[in-house]
Amino acid sequence: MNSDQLSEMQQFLNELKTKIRVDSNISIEKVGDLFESIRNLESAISEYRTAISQDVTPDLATVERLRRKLTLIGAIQSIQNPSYFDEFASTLAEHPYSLPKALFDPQGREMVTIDFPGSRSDQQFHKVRMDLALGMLYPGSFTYRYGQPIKVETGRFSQRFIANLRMHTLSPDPIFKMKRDGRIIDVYKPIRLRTMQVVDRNPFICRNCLSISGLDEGCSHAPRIKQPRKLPSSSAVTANQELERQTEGSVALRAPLSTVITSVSFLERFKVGQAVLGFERSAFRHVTIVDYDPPIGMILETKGVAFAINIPPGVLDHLSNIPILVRDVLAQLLAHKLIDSFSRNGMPSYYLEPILSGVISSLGMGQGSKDVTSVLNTFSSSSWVENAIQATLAEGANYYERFDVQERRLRSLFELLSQQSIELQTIKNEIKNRLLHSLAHNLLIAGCVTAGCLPSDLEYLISDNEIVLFDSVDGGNGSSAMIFDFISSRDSFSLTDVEEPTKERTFRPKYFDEAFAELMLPCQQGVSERIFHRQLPVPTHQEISRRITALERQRQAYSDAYKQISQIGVENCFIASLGFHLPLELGMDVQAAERFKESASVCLHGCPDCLVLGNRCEEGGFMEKFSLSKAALDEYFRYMTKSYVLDYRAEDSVIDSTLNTQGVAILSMQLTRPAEEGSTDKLDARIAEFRGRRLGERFIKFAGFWVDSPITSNDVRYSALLVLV
Amino acid sequence: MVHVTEENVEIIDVDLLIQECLRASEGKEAFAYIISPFISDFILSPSWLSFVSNIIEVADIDSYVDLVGLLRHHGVDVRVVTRSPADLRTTTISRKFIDKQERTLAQLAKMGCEIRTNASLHAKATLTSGGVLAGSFNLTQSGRSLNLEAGFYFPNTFGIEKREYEDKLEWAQRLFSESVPVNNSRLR
Repeated sequence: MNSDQLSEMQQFLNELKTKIRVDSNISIEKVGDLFESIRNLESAISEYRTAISQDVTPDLATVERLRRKLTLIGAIQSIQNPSYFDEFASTLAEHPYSLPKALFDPQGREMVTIDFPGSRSDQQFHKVRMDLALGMLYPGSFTYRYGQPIKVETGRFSQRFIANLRMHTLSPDPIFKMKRDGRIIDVYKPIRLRTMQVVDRNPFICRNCLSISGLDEGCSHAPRIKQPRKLPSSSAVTANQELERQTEGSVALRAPLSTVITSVSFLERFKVGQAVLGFERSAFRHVTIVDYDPPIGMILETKGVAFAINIPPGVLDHLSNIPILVRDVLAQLLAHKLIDSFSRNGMPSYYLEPILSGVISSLGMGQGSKDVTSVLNTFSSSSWVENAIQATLAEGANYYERFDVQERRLRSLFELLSQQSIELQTIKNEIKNRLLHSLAHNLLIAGCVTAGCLPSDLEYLISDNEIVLFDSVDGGNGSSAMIFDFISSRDSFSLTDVEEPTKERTFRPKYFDEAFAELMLPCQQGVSERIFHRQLPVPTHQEISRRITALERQRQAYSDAYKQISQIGVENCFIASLGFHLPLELGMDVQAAERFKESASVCLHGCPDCLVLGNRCEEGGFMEKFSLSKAALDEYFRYMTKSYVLDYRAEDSVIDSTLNTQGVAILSMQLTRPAEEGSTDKLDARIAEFRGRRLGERFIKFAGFWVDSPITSNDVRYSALLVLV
Repeated sequence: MVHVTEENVEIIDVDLLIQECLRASEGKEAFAYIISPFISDFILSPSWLSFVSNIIEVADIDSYVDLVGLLRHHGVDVRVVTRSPADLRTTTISRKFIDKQERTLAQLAKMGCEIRTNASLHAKATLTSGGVLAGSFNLTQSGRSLNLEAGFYFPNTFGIEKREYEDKLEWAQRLFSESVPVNNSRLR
């Protein structure tokens, strides 16, 4: 547009203004709107005229890039899942800027080169920090960081879901070795990561393996199952390996937590190997996990806190005598064993549930009456394989849009699985793993509450009887130090611990042990669900009754699914929600089956209200539900604190004696059926009697109150914690 | 009855108030009478505040006023009887202390506590549905943890203790009704 055309346009606007002024048919509000629009146009004309006079030409490439970004952001916002946004936001940060992956951004010492041969700019090679590359530029990821969308190469992986990283330049020797599933694997440092430009923003993606057509991935699946989709989201699958440590100071916690954590040490220097083992990709509501060959990683020197965990053999014996728990842990173990062999059979991860469901059905694990010993006997005989194949195929045909796993592959997978030795001891070890992993999540969440940081600012590392929380950045970010400082240890608890008030008080973080202790209590959502589905007396506490009201509303919409849950029992919901073996057995249609699956996803082994961390879980978001057990953790805490538990009607002398010897007493009261008005009054009165009384040199304090409804019993209990301070 | 000194007064005080929050979370009638001629905010020890629950959250509390804020958050009716800052200004009490009292009352009023003043007040007590704590201790840093103090605590349970509790509750209700509502707008 030249200056004459601009003058012409201005002339037109002037005439238009005159017409508007004299037209009595136009309302006064309309006149205001029109003049506002004309003013905007005039302002644009004036700016354009200035730009022409200065010989400024618009950078159309930049404008287009920004437009694309806005479109992408708009598309993500329309998904209305805020957590999803984070996965993309970092990819939008343009070089040399970066969106910090955590609240505390590392300075980073090691660098990696990003090789972008098709770059429109002159620069083909870009240096980025190693941690950034491993966090957002791992092979298989997409980024807008260098202007145009690019992909970090993986090569073809559809055959075995293993990406051979030969196209990248890696260190000649491994930088550290890592123990993983009983194997030792070498981890290499990336030196140069190759990328390629993504021309099509809606590339064809294979519904089977989630490979992208037209890039380096490709696959040999039929073209008809490839559909155009936006670039898929992904996250790196990471693991840590301790290399060196230097401890500085340790503290002991107070009872009752001292039964779980025997000591806490500060690690002034903690050297850890961080490996990226592969990535998870999501599209079409499916997830695939792709492993790297070899894994890549870096070495971090940071600070941490080590928690010595007490899991005595007695508690494992106790837990392995709870049939529901053993059965569910066995299902989780089978899920891990299946997923490990998926890559060998070239199967995508999202087939896990239908295949696991076939195994569950064939082994009779869904039936409450079959005990674990007979399930294990069936498993070792291999007689279950044929039934599992038929059950899986029937389920796949009835409930999945696309399920094209061949019988031959299923047989090979199941035969491989049946050769594995699973005994009661294996399950006992697995229960211990569940406990440690669940405790690690609790510690991480409590750490974030205390330090006011994000889950991405801390990492966890689990070993035999220890969990280490460490700062996720080189040099540390202060989170671990703050956690250690805010542990109210046995020694720091005193009656004279009062400061003078100051005019401006600084924020007091929650003490780590308080936050952790609360996470060890039963999950509110889980308790509410058990009370609701078992029709137990409902506590009058608002938080519980609010959740029960929400469940009641949902029951009105999904009445058949809820009726089914009442019939099978809420304790069987985890196993029943894996795949569709139960809907198949009951002949449910697809909609009814999906409603049942959704309704049966209750909190037995963890939910976002208690343990679930999503892709911050060491096992990745996809395998998280097979790696945790809130039910085991609850039962463990009950077992570890059982010597403190007394009936609220116990003699004063018994309560005093427990307090004197243990420093703690937990008064327990079972809620009667039907719930009486004021049912906590008797317990309240008992607490009131002990409040502030002197015992030796110390005083009794009311220090906790919780509601519980264990999966192993049909009752609701109140517990009140009394401690000596 | 429990004999109360400066060593356990605040354990009992904080416990009574936290338990009242629990009671409110059950939808039961919950209240607190806070009676003290002198009132000023003070820091609470972490030992007194330590409380774990899957029903209520006792977090982000540093001081007594924060704790009253928690009570109000749970909808507990909080009634305060104290000496009027305006009256205190006619005495020889330090102006700094009176300013502090006025600030604390302003904070409590803002939270929705009902504040009344009584020029003859000398009694000190905290009453909730769980029990009554009374004695020589003012609701100040010195009264609750520094001075040598004495008093008693009657839980609202059974027998003599319940009768004592009911007597004290009746007294507190009467005292509150006989005291003068404070004009919140005059508190700075």
